Amino acid sequence: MQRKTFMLVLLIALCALGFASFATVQAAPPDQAASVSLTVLNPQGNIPVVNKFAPRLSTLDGKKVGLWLMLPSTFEFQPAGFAFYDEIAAMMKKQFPNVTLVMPKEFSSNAPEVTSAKVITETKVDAAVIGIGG
Amino acid sequence: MGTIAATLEKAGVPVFVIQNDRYEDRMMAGVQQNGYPDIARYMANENLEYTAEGGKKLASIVYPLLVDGLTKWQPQYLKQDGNTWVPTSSTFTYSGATYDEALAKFNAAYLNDMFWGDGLPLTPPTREKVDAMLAATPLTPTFSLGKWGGPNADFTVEKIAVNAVMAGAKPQYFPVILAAMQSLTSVSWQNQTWVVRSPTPLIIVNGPIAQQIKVNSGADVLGANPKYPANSSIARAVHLAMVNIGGSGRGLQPSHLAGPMGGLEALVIAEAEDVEALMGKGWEPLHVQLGKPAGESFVSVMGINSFAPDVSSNITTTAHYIAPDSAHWPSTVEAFQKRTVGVLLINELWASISSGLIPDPRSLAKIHTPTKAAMSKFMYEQARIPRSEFNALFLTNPDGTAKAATGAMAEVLKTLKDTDPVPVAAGPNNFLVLVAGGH
Repeated sequence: MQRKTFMLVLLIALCALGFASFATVQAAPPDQAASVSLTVLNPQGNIPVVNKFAPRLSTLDGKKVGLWLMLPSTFEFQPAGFAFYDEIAAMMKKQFPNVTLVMPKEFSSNAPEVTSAKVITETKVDAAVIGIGG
Repeated sequence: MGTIAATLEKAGVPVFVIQNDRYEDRMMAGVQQNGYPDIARYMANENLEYTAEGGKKLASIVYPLLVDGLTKWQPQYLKQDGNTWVPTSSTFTYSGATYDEALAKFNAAYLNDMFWGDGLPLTPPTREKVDAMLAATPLTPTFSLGKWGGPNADFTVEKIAVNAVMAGAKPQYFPVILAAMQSLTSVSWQNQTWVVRSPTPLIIVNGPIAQQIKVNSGADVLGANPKYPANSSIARAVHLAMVNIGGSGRGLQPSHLAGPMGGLEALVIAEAEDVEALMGKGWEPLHVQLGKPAGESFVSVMGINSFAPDVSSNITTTAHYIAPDSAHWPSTVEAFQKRTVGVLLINELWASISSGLIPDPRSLAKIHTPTKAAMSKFMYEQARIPRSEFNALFLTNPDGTAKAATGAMAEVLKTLKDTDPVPVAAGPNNFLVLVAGGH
């Protein structure tokens, strides 16, 4: 009987020890070293090159830059849009004194985009900023 | 805006775009359709005040980016390698004092910086996990299932595996994910437009693999059921692959104004093939209907434009729930002939996918056409648009005058009398009957 009781206690103790060990392993973070690194793969795919981007300008100084504002018919941002471009123009003039600016021109978001693009290219700008909204 | 930007770049004019961030997918669709993977831009915070003061505040944020955009910009997450744009880095490393800290940094970067996700925490796609996924297919990692998306991105087995790991998919799901992606990439992405809405891919799994990986065909078949993780994680893997592989490092969504119908980009179901045993001949599973051997595993993908669940209809009125789709009348006769109406029979509930409603197959025993083919024929005959409604929708100018039918529509109308209602699909075989759901 005593032997049986001892075995039972031993068994319980072993189980408890086993559980404690297991619990300890489970509770510990996988990496408790000073630094853990996680290296992951990039999910993006390869994409064929179809068109080349326009070469970027070495500087905006001496260049003609068009600022274009798209205005959807229900556009709440209109006053802010013009204020935005006034501020951009002031900053640009300060940094690039010889820049020529085509000041905010509007195009409607309802106009065909190819038409708007043609209108912009006809101004023969060296670079263009287009926004906002729409 | 995207087409304007791309046209200017093509003309040799460097461009910088400033736009409200909610228009990003729409703008990028225009950019990518015109052969560019990305564009120099700043996506403005929608919450900036719509005042002159707000405009000035925005200018101070945007100005340095604008100057860089016109003078030294290049895509942030892609670099040119010969005739291909490739990711700037094949791996990223995130470090922390603990694993949890590194994991949090990974999730913050992938979800918040690159938008490579769906907003929920991702499983880190480590080399080991991706290799385990790749081991579930005999295909080589570089094998391409197809080119798809606005930028015509290469959907290789390895890239799909990376996204599948991120989605939390188990390797045993990978064959189904690959089959679904092969099907999806075989359809031109323009048919899954990014602008207004996109069809939700319904991925239907038939054959032994459905049971092997436990794809749900019963209760909650269209929803998330924790007893069946395969459905949710396959759907999530497909979604992530669609937005990440061709997303130019932006996680572009394949839909914009409304988005897909599900929270995820796809729905995954298995057909309840045991219905054949219950109902007998005429209730063969979908893949057998499509001519495949019964013992073969098969994945079908159907793009869903509309979804009309109902619990109180009957077989006669069901067909009339199929909505006329004025925005998507097929532009060619061939497209009309290929158009499919999928009818999902739900045990104990009635529901349908892509327009129709049909009752529990057991209640069909009460009618005289209890086979899939008979139901398809019945739906074809009943699911028609009354001519007066058709004319009002399709053949009336805004000023109320009549206009002539053209293209596929004219060809279809030629086959009908002037007062006949117009079928929503070309023939009985265009009504695809599936069985799933219930208890």
